[in-house]
Amino acid sequence: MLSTYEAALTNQAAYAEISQFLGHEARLLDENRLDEWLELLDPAIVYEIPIRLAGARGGANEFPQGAYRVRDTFEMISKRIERLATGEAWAETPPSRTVRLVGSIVIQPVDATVYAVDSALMVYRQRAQDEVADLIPARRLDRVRIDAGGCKLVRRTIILAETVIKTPNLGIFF
Amino acid sequence: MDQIETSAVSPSSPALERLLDRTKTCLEDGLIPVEIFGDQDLFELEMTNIFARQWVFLGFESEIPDSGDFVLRSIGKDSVIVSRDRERNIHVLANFCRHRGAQLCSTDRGNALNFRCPYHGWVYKNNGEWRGAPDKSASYPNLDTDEWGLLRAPHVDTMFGLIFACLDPTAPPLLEALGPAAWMMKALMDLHPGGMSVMGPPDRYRVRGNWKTASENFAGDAYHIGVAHRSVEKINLGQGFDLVNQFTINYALGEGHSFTGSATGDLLGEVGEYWGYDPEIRRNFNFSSLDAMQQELIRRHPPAVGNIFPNLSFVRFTNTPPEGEWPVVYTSWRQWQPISATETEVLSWQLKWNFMTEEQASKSYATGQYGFSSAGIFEQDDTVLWEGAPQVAKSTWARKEGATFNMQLGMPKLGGAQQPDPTWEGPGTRYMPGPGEAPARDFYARWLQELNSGG
Repeated sequence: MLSTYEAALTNQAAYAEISQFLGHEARLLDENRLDEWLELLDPAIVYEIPIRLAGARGGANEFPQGAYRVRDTFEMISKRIERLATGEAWAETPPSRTVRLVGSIVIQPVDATVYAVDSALMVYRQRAQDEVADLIPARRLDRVRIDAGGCKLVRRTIILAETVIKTPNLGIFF
Repeated sequence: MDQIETSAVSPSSPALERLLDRTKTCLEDGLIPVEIFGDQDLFELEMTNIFARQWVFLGFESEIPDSGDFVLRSIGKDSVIVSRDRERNIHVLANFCRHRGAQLCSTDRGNALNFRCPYHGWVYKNNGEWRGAPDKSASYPNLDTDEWGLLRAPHVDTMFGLIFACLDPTAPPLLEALGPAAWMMKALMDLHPGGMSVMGPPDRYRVRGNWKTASENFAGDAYHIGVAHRSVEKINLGQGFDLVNQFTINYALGEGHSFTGSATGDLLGEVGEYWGYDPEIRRNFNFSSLDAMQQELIRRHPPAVGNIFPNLSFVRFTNTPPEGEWPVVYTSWRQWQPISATETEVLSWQLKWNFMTEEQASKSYATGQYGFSSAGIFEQDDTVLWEGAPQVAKSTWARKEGATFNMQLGMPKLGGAQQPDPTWEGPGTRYMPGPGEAPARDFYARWLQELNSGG
């Protein structure tokens, strides 16, 4: 396993490409271009938001095994997007205005084409007539594959900072 | 002085008294003043006269299976430790040190036979007893240790794996206090000797609605399904929503508890009976402890949603399966914890039957979370629609008009669509199939009765 420094030096091209990919992805989501965002996902993707408790770091009392808020397949994500397009998904009608800040990106090769990508995400979310907007901080643990076609998101785990979610629903994608 | 007889208090101001009087009059006509969804003084009265006085839900036995296990929960706004002691008894302890009020426990769950205060080192056993302090023999030789243990709920009891507590020492036992709600719980939870247990800790999230709106929705609001949740049907993950109004049966059990069954057994035959559980799961059930009415109920009109006063609800529902497959059934218990007059914390648990295989359990969890959770495709739309009432409660215009909300659906004055079923021999009232708001009216009647129980 390369150290972070060595990994950065030997993977500059991959780092640049993945950073562009994450920025592009953030823009698609902020612009509510969800069908185009879906095309960035590998059909075998697992997209997960585990439940988090206030507890000692990394233990079973912080991330109880198997407990999640979301654990979506590609099909389940598609259905969420289809729901949002019905015009009757009241929680997101009209859609939230969001700004996603993606940073603290660190990549590590896993195999010939796949990289483990850690990053930090801060989402500003203001719904319809909200006077109070929400800040939703999270870390992302992603797997990104780079091949001839470009980047694809193979896996995503969202580690929300909060244990009790303050934004009224997780009706947007992270 | 009413403090001797009961721990309920009287309204804190003439304005609050007037609001309660007005509410009483309105309720007789199936109406409710808008202020009750946002008045902070009323909220405080709810904390004292309901949450600090009634039996309230805290969590599941299966969350604290071993001696020393604890979870951190709330009674009203008060942080409490729910612990299991060496003898496997459950205690509910106020989460503050009696010395200077430091918070004793700041993790959501764990295992500890003692709690030691990080300020001056007072130590308590996990049953609340004062145990020690640094240099105890020099510092506290004459401390009356019985006096200085943690505040402890005088009543703690369980039913079908659910843990309840009550802060009123004069309260009746749990079974008596639950009344007809216990009948409903049995029909839901007592279908196998192994019972049900939680699949993980609760999902927790804050919504900008009043806790009562959530309770009354789950008490028996079938009328919203076809509109609020239309998006789910449009994407083919729900079906028959347009028929719900014709086939929903409200059971107003009495004392403010109620549930809703859909006549799915009558409508769909075998697949609609017993909530749609597939035969692999169904053949494990043992209905011998249920009475004849409960057995018929769960076969023909399985209870889909319900509310136990004040703020404990359940939903047992299914996905819409692919052609030729049986549905996946999930059971979610949820609690609408009051944070303020305008904010509520949802705690949502998914439960499995203990006889289920890994695969059956994880499918049930996945389906339940997809529908009812912080990201639930049903739940999202419910909670956002609940945000309106607290805003109206503060509206200058609405208050100027003495505005009310309308719960008259099914009442005679609106055409009397919701009629009691004269053949029902079970607890409370079973209504004929059709839309109606009797459960909501019953909920508010019980609520008002408890609020007015002070001097």
